[in-house]
Amino acid sequence: MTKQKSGKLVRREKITALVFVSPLIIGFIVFTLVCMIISFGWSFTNFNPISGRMKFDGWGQYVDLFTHPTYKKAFLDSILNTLFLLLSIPVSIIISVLIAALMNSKKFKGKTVFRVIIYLPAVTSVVAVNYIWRYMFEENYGLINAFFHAHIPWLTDETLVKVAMIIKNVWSGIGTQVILFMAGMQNISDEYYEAAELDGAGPVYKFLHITLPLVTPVLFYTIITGLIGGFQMFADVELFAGGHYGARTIVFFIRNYGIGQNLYGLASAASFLLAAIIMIITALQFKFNKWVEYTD
Amino acid sequence: MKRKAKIFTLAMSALMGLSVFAGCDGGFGGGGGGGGGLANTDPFVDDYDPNASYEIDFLGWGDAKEQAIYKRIINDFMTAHPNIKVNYDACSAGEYLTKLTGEIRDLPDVFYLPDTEFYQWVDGGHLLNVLGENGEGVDTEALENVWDNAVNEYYYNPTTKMLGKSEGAGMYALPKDQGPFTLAYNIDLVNEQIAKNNLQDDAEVAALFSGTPVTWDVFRSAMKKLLVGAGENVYGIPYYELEHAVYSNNAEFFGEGARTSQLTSTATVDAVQFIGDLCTDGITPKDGLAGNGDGADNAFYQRRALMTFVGPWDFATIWEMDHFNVDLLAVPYGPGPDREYNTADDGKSTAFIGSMGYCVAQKTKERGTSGASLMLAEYLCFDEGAQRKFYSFGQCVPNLKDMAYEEYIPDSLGIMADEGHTAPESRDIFIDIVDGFKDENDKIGGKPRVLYYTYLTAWRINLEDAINQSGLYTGAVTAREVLEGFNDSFQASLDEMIEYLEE
Repeated sequence: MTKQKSGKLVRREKITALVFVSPLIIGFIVFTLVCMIISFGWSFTNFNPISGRMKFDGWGQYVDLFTHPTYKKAFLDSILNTLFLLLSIPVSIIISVLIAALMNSKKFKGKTVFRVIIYLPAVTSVVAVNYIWRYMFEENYGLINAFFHAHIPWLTDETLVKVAMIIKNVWSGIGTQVILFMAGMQNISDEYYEAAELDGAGPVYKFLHITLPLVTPVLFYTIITGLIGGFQMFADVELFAGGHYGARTIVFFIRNYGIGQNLYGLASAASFLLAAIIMIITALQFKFNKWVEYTD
Repeated sequence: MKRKAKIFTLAMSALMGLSVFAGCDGGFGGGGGGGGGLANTDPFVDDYDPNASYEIDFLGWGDAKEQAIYKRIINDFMTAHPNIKVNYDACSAGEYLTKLTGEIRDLPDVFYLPDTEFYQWVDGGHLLNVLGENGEGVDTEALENVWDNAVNEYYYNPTTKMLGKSEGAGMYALPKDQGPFTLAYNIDLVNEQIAKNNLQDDAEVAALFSGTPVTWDVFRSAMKKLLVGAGENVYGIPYYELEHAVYSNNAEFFGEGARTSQLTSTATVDAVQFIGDLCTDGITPKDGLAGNGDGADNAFYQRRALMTFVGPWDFATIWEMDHFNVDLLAVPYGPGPDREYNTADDGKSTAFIGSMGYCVAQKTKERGTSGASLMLAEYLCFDEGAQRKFYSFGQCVPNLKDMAYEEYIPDSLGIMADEGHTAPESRDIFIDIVDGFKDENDKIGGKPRVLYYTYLTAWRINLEDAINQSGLYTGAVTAREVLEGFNDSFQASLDEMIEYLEE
């Protein structure tokens, strides 16, 4: 009797759970999965919704990305630019860990105020952030050049525009990361530190041998989400870099060379390549994640 | 458990990766559906009955100001035609084509289409031939008073797949407006520089502001003189338009039908070299073509450039600025292919004309709304009252030739003066551009943007990139080296477009 009752409860619980998650699942199927399948199909055609062309092209669109005189250079450049811009991930992680460690210290005063300040960029409009930083980096009248009495062509030089984007992205990304690292650090039991202090460990030793290893799950999470976000970068190129060729990312290529010309086959092929890159990198990270310390 | 969690996380990461595709809006493929249910195979104007009621959708773009102007003009149309209800919808220019493409299976009855998109859309069969099957469509008599260039731009021959007026061609849009894009200068800043450098009697500076186009040589020389002592961050122009340089040197990007590259012709090479020379002279900043867009407008508005390129639509903003006096210049011209001035092949001052069309969807024929839709497009294109409102709001120059010459240039009705708008005083330059070259002695004219002539657009981005990345602006390479290096890729792009058209 009790068994029957508990069985019913479990079933009811499962149904309730299903009801709660069903909007998400239905949304995912309709707006993501179906789109993905359609897009995958398009990537093997020369589909153009305006002209109505849709001829099976096999791997033609994928091959065009690397060989067609009109698209080859732009696509390969966009890959290189994207990889360069991913440098903002390690830089922001290093800065975030250091700030989090500093704020986590018992001697640090004004923790709450500082936490709010550092999180502000995360809740500020992306458009506003990009435009403000664009003005700050402007060559002739930007604040940064004015401060250094310099004439650095931040927004017009092929390499410097990427450096400027990395600086901006580090600034706007550390807010969330600091909060995550702080949460990770606060979960570390004091016992570890007390034991280390008894053995005569200094703050640097404790940071390197206790704090850092024990926040590796957070580190792992930030690397994965950072890489996925980094590969999908688009708004910055448009708003901050004004579409400068030195800053064009893969998604920018998809938008401007594919969708912008109504070449949906080409855009779909580039999208699937990008997805494949992201999946492979993510899978590799999971495969080689022995450095991550799971304490429980 | 830990293993399961890992698999789940891995799967979720994979899905996050695939979320690159999220946001697509499903299939475009497959058949039509769409629209109302009134199948009507008669010539389309016959589907209009003055005693019946119609409801049509009109999609446009623009900022809040433009949308407000359109709402007022559409209200006027509905007052004049109480049996036609127009549902006006608009979004920002940046979102517009994405929105329109998303509605491809069920397009609004009337919608804007930039001329640069026209080739693909007309080839795709989405646009109604407004001439009608037996010439019973648009009021062709009224069209005679609309700029010839503007009207001809929207002709297309579905058999030969050629743009422009020809035997057997139909007309697939009515011109919304013509956007002559020419130079405007800051009167006060220029006068300050003239006074500062004692250039009151300088012949080249006087020629530059005389209202007659000057040669590239005079332009460069006068600008260099004007910029003396202007300040470290003040330039002559924030950037120079590629089309203006090429067109004004009697040159082309490609030959007839956009089949063969002419990038390496002497005249085209010299035009690009002119842009490079402006940079090495310090007249434009060293990012050259890359400096256009908002940055150029801001530089001009903030007195960091003596002049910039403007269209009529920019005056809505300029009029709102205090103590900002602006007038127009015709763009300078080059010596042409023989590299000698005062010969038969000299370039002429040629600006590009940005244009958009009011298109009537092919689907309106099935819906039975083609007649009512065409009436709206006609009203917006050439109704006198509507055109008067458009120009008085700083929206555009009139589409109507007589209104432009008799009313807009002299402001004979005092409409612009009443609003406190005197600029631009030389607005006849706008009109000269849209009216095209009337005869051999006419020195000022205009042409559509180069992207109007090509099916795909990536070649243009690639060309600008090749120029911007080349070192032309620092004098490290010549225009010939840049264009010869890019020519094969350009020809491949043209070949690709021809293949597309021949498919």
